[in-house]
Amino acid sequence: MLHRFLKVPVEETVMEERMDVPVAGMESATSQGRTIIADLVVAKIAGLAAKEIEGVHELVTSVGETIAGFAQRVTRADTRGQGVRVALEDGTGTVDLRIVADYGVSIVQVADAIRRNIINRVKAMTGIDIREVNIEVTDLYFPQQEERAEELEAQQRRVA
Amino acid sequence: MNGPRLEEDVALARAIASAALSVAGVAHLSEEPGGAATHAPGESIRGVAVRRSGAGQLWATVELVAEYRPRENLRDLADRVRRAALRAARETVPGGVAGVDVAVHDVAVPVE
Repeated sequence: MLHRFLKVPVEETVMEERMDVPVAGMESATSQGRTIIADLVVAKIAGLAAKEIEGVHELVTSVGETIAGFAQRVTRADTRGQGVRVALEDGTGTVDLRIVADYGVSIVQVADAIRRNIINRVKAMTGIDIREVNIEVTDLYFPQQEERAEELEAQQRRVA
Repeated sequence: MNGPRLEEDVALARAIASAALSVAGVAHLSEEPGGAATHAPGESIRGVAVRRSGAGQLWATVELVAEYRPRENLRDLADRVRRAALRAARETVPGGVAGVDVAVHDVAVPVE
């Protein structure tokens, strides 16, 4: 059974003095202690799952105020979970992310693959059911353009 | 907290940290500022805290960073860490600890 511990106090624990956990996350209780999975962990798994899909060039960071981002600022943890927003409630959740897609891929197929991979990975690793994955494709990446830009830069360096 | 108890807590924290680190899938213990830690003269054990309830019951907290292993459930990993920590605690002090809270704070991608 999963509990949203920032909102739902777990009453069946045998502990008399509870220690505050300084991160937002999902908790499950056993008679010998609680298990807490931080929101950042879910955000990071979702981000890695998205990047595993061919056709995803990169994730777009700074989507604004995110729950995982907020947790990171509070705990001063690293920021690799950025670009993915995760909202969790009672064992289920929603993921929002923005990506740059490679030019030439079917965005519909890539988005579908991202969605399924995120749901599978998060379920397998945390037991949390992701009900909704919202994907926004904000830009396309053109490999040839990038190469040309690099060539141009190299030329400029040679001249200078 | 008196002297002998501090020594006992440090010995417990050390044993629990070492047991947790030996569990496959644990990348390292969490070193977040303000997170669980046990401080002693000349040493601090990051990611592990030991505390006592009013009745003198011992309880431990382990905060860790897991390796990113797509097919592994982090709750199973936490259970393995808990079992290893409980065993290590029993071997360190009579009666061991009553329970171990395990928090997965982050995942790390193993560098190849």
